[in-house]
Amino acid sequence: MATSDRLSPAAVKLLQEPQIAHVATVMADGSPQVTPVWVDVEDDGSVVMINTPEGNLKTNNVAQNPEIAISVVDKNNAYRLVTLRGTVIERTTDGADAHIDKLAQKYLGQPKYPWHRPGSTRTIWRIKPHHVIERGV
Amino acid sequence: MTSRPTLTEAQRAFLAEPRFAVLATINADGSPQLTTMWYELQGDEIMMNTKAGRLKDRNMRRDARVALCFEDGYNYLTIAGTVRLIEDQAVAQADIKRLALRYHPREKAEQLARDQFERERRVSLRLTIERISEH
Repeated sequence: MATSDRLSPAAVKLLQEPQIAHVATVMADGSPQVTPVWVDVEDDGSVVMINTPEGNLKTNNVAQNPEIAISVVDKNNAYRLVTLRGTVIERTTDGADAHIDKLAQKYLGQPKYPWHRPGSTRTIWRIKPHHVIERGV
Repeated sequence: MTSRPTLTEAQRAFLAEPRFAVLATINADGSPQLTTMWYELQGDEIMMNTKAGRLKDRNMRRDARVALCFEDGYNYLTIAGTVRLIEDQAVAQADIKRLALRYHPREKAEQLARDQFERERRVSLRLTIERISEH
């Protein structure tokens, strides 16, 4: 099957909508782990971003193995979807608080992320896709 | 050997709805792969079904450990476990038809079975639950 290393404009549009993404990481024992996340994307489709607190299971997993998968399925049409495999090329706290506020605006229509926990450090993951599959976008 | 976790009644009710499950498997190179699945909770197992030869099928033949995520807005349930593959076509075809009826009206489900599934070699999956996480 032909795959791409970046998202098409139509796939970028799907990720720009407030659609929940699922991210899969690999546990230390080699088994998979999957959680739902908010997702962001560069306009040119070259990089996908998520924002997560430090210290959780998926963060520990990517510290060992940066290969992940992300799936975004239209909540109103299960046959419109993007699924990709990619590498976490950067994890940074720079701008991460502003970024989670941007995602709160996208997903909640609120200018500030309402569930920030004192002592929790947000991190942006930048993910470079290397196998992108699009259906019905 | 540790005892297996059991689903609460609320978790069973959540899974009884015809949601889409997100299934994670492990590729040959050790990286993860994701797909969206129909499923049905059957007793303490989760039944799924796929077309033979798909990437996830090849992955689960090599490594039967999988993770599933079910989300509904800001509630979600993740389940990790091991799948058993059933290749008996009588079972596999009955299961995919049962799933089609769970997710589609009868007429559409029967059409899918007749025009697509019956022409395919199908594989049924039975997931034994080993970890449950709810948020």
